[in-house]
Parts: sequence; C-alpha cells; structure tokens
Amino acid sequence: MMRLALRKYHRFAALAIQETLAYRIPYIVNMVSIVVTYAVIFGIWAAVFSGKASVGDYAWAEMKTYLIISLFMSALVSGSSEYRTSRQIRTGNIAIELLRPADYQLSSLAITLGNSLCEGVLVSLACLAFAFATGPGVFPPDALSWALFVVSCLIAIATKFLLVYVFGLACFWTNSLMGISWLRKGLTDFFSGALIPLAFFPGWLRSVADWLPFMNVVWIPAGAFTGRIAGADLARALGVGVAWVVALWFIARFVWSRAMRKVTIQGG
Amino acid sequence: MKAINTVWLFFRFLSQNTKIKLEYKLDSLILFVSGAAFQALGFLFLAVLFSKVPNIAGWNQWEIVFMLSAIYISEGLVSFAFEGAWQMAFLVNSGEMDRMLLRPVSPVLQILTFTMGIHGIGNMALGVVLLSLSLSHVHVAWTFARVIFIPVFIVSACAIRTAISFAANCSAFWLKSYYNAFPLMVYQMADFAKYPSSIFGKAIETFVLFVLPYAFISYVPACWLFEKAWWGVFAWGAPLVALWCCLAARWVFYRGLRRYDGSGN
Repeated sequence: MMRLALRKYHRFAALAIQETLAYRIPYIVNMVSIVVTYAVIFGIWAAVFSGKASVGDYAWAEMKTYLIISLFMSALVSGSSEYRTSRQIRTGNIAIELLRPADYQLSSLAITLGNSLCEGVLVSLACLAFAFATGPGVFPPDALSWALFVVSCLIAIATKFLLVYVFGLACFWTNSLMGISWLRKGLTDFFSGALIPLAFFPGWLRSVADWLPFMNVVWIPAGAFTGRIAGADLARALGVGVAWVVALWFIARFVWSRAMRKVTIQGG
Repeated sequence: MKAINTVWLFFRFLSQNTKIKLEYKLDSLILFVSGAAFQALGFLFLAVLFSKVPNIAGWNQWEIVFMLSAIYISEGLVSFAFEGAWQMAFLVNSGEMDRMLLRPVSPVLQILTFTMGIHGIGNMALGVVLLSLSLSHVHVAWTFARVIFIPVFIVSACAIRTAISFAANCSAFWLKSYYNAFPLMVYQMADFAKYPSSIFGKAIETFVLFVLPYAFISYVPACWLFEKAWWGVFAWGAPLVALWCCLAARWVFYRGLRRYDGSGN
C-alpha cells in the first residue's frame, strides 16, 4: 500500500521534471529574474559594508554567506505551484484533479519536489557564481552542522511549499492570484529575513517575525549554515520549524475542505 | 483631431475597464491592499536598513525613499492605465489580437487598455505618500525649475515604463507560449533603479542609463534634485528618452505584428 502510494506520487514528481525540461525557456528566465533580484540585494549590502569591518555584529564574509543561502532557499521552491492551482481553479480543470485517485495536497507536494530538483541544479550554479564573484565566506565547521543545515533546508522546503499551497488555495475565493501571490512573496521575503537578517529588526518587528512561520525559509537555514544559530538554540528552532510544518499541513487540509464546499465547476 | 479622438477613446476604455473591475469587488480590494502592502514592505526594508547605517554610498534614507517613490508612482500610474501590455501573450496565442486588428483604432491603444490594474491605485497612493515624506525630510533648494521638473519627470517616467514593458511583452510574437517570463525579467531590472545605480558598478549603471533607461525614472532625477552629480542636469533629457523609448517600442510591435498569423479557427 505504502509502496504503491510512493510510486504514484513519484510519477507526479517525474512528470514535473519532464515538464520543466520540456519548457526550458520560462524556467531559465525565471531563474535570471531571481539572480537579478539578488544582484540588487548584493549591491546594496556591498555598499552598506564598504569601508566598514562590520555592520550590527555581522562581518561581510558572514553577510555574504547569509545572502547566498538566502538566494538558494528563495529560489529553490518557486511559486509555480500557485499558478498551477489557480489556473486549475479558474479553468475548472480542478474537477479532473478531484476525480483522480490521488490526494491533491500530496500530488502538489510531489510536483513541487520534482520542480525543486530541477531548480536546485540551476540555483546551485547561480549560488556558486555569486560565491566566486564575492570572495570567501563562512562555512559550517563540522559534519554535524552540515547535517543540521540539511535538516533545516528540508524544513524550509516543506514550509515554503505549504505557504505557497495555502495561499494558492485562496483562489477558490478570489480570482486575483496576482494580489495573493505578491502578498505571499512580500511577506515571505521580508519576514523570512531574505532581504535583511532578522537580527537587524527592531525589537517589536522581531517579535512579530518570531511568531510567524516565514523564518523557517531563510533565517533558520542561513543561521544553521553560518553557525549564528547553534546548539540548543538550533535544536529548538528546528523543533519549532517541524511544529510549523505539521500545523501548516493541517491548516492546508482545513482550507481545502472548506474550499470543497465552496467550489463550483463551470460548464458541464 | 486624431489625437483628441485617441485621448477620448482612452478614457472610454478606462471607464469600461473600471466597470468590469467593480464587478469583482473582493478581487479588486485584495489587489489594492496587497499592491500597497507589497510596496510598503519595500519601504520597511529601507527603514530597518537605515536604522543600522546612516547612509549608503553617500545617499541618506530619504533620498533613496525619493527614488523608491518615483518607481512606485510610475509603476502605479502605468499599471492603472496600461496594464493591457501584460496580456500580449494571451492576445497573441489565443488569436484575440485578430479583433483588434480589424477595428479602425490603433491596435497599440487597444492592447494597452485591454485591461487595467486596480493595484496601481494602491501603488500610486503609497508612492505619493512616500514622495511627500521624502521631500519633507530632504533639503532641496526649491527653484522654479525644480518645481516644474517634478511633473515633467513623472510623466516621462510613466512613458518610459509603458514603452519598456510594452516592448518586452511584444516578445510574445516570437516566443509563442502562454507563460512568457521574459517581460517579467525586464520589469525586474527596474529594481536597479530603486537605489543609486552607481553602487551596482559601472556595467549595470551603464545598462540602466542607456540600454533599459530605468535610471531616468528615478536615479538621474534624484541626482539632479539633490545635486549628487554634475550630469544630473541630463534628467531634463527624460522626455527625449521617453520619446525614443516609445518610438522603439512601436517599431518592435510592428516588427512583431509581421510574424503574427492569428490562431486559425
């Protein structure tokens, strides 16, 4: 049973990979947009650090590493599943998804993972390019730190997928994916620390960020990588991260079940 | 006569689009709020950043907020009035363009006003707030020329933006795909003009000055208003840059149109 299920969702992931490879141009252009965004961010931070040994308590080497991890995490799970969900809702093709003997949330996850695998290759290249262009950075000191970084990445991918998915489901109530997608992207970029480390936030804003799931996406993995978050702090952060993933998973289920009462399929 | 007719038609199209949007109240509200919120986060980013550093490459917070507001206002006005440019991929691939070509009205006007972006109002509102905040914090030696300059550069900025995104969206004629990310990439390049472009190095500065002249929306005008560089006076060239962009976009469109062959029926 379990094996059968795995095989089924494995097919979704494989199809997503084939689709990405078939439509290479949008995928590459999308990646270029992300690189442009980060070129801007790098430029600003480089200007901020120019002539200074450190800002806040960040040295340039750490900041640079932070930004590269931020680029990696932000680009790894793109918003493409949002577009897919909203398109299916608007065109009514969601009806076909409902007829399939597969769980929509799990198949969306499988497709996202398939896409991420493809994106991962290009993103890693982009990160390497940034790393070479900007000089030496900071690395995890030992094998355990690397392992915890990988764990934090998995939590980040799960969190981001669920955020994109839940926001995408909002299209059952509204047609304006664009607005919803901006809101999600804006909130994620800001409160995950993608643009500016949470350590720079004033106290009140930091408390807001601490109570939101977005920090799983960049702040925690980047902290795990540079060693800023370590030991008991890291263990706690990862625990909270897992709790968020579980909570978001059920929130998504709840939103979906509400949506099913709402859905009207046009045509027949 | 033709020009008056075009302006009249433009407002007719705009009012029709407004009626359509008002039918979807929740959607419009979400777009309006999310548009403003998204931009507000951009400002919040600057506020947090400048709480740690007094200035970036010699520019203080409010000078950069001025640049940001110029980007927001032009973006808002353009998406409010000319959001249709972003529908090019749809119009080309679905064959909807056929209809526009048959009507005795400029296809460029019809495409640009095909739809409107309600979020533009949110962007614009926030942009105006930021512009006034910025100008009240920065010391500018107001002369007659500087006062006149504000509307001149804003109108030019809108024209430059409209032309660039229209031309970029014309790529739909060549890249036949419903999901065309190329214009989005071009649009994203405007980020380089949200901040003093010189901090990104000579190559990018040259790029946003001469290739995609986003710098004339915000950076060059800011250089002139705040007397950052002697060449800031070239900000007065913005209307010419705008004209050049519009002509170039028009040329790209008609080149693309030659490749258009409808979608059959």
